Amino acid sequence: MSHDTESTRAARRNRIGVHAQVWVGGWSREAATYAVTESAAAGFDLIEIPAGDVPHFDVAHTAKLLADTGIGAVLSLALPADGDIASEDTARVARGEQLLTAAVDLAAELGLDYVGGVTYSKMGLSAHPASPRARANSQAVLGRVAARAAASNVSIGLEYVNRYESNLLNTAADTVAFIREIGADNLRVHIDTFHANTEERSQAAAVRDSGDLLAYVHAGENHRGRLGSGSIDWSSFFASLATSGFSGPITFESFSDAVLDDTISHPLGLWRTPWRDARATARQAREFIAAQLDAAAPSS
Amino acid sequence: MTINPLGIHALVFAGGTTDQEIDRSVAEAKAAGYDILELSLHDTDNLDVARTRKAFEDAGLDLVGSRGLAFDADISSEDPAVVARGEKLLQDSVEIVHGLGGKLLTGALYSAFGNFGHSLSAKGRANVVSVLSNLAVEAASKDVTLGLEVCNRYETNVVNTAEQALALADDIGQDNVVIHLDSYHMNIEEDDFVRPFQLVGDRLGYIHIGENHRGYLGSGHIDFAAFFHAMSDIGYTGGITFESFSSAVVSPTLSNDLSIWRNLWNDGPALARHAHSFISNAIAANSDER
Repeated sequence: MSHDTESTRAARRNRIGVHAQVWVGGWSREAATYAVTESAAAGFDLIEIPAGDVPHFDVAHTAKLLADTGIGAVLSLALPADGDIASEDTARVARGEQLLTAAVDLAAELGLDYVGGVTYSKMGLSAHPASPRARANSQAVLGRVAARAAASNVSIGLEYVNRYESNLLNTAADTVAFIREIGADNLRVHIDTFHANTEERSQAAAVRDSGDLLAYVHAGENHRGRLGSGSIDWSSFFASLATSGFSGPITFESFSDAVLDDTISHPLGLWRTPWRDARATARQAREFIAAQLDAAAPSS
Repeated sequence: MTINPLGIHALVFAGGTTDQEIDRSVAEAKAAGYDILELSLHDTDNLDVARTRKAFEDAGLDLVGSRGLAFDADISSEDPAVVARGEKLLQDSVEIVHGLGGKLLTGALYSAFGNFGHSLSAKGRANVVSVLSNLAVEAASKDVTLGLEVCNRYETNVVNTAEQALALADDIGQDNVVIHLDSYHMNIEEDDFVRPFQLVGDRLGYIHIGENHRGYLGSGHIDFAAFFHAMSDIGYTGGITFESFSSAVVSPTLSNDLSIWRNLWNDGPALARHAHSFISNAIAANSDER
């Protein structure tokens, strides 16, 4: 915490965020209160809130928490198999469009401007490559959802993931091409360093390939444990972000079965316990990101 | 001149093990300068064992057999019938490797291949230990060694780190069970590329070398200098086999299980020559004998 004064924080062009699932597995009023309060207390500028269960989302409660603590928020979701818009099954595609639309409407209601995640296909192992028709279905849905989101100034982030979590978008270059074909200004690229670590030539290449479409970053270690405890080349990544002029949020993502129940942890392949103390882990991550940003800042 | 025999996975050249595919893989592996050709044993129905053994012998190539199990034939299951089917697959695989003149059966021998949707139970792990202990005794009688390949979280819930592999090998307690490290999986699961080598030491029996995206070596970001330093430091003299997959070569049994959606190369033989040169060069650069 030592070097992180008010003035260095004010000079930083990126907000530092934390994924809600570092703290909690769900978003009940109790969970939301705990996650937002802890995030603010740990010094984060922003919290990423899961928007997978919109019907049970207490909008007024979350809005008040954000107003009271003064931290920002974004929404995220990962489409389930029965809501896979990169499918040839029209029922699944329609269900996925409903989920995306509901998330966009929720963001608008909360006054938030970003919905990201696995928004273009289901998240999970696939039994076969994505067919051209499945790809076209995903693009058609995203075109419609983007148009609706634009009316509320909401952007939609496409977080490309590794080969085990989607058969459609695994690299920044493929994601940029996919977005360009749709042609909507508010569809943006979302880099997750954990996924880029498996699929990209380098973290720097991911930033370069994303160009000015990059809107959001997940900072996750190669094994999704504590930042700096693994093999990701963080200084190269942050130098690339600084050079590119990226000014969007950088959000810490890490998962532990000390926090999450089996329904969340098992689809992620979380078989080990990387940490038990969420507060210590989150604070260390925020300090780590802040130190990397300051070291890479053009003025330093 | 390298001290380690170098190998290549046959899926660089061919998607299956028909006579024609075996002949092509053997010829291309040999032409690219390799000492070992690794065959996946997922597709043995049309494998002519005697003919393949002769093809390897004629070419002067060593054979390594590799496999994972399946959800209906999985020794990490709690269901005795599922465990029994997995044990049968492993026994057949030892027999096939022996028939092919091979000395090593390796891979995810301890579980099915894929995301389980649940954690490994104590009973499931006990089944793994029991089956592999018996299998190791049977394999020893045929002069076959078993390798425990450390795989990533999306492929197995049993062994994701070198530490877990050692613990499993300890529990199996047979001398012909070795640890198999793979740089591709290490990049996802391990803290770095040095500690796993230090931890495993002389119990390391086999290495897969693969780039982080499983394409051309050197076209990704794996720190191969650290990898080869660590390998050299523990005095490893065993096989190093290159593994790379592209949608250009499709195996009906393996490609979807490995989530191979991307085209990372089209020319397998060119890739094989490049990898041989890359690995030889890295060993020369990073060994003690400068």
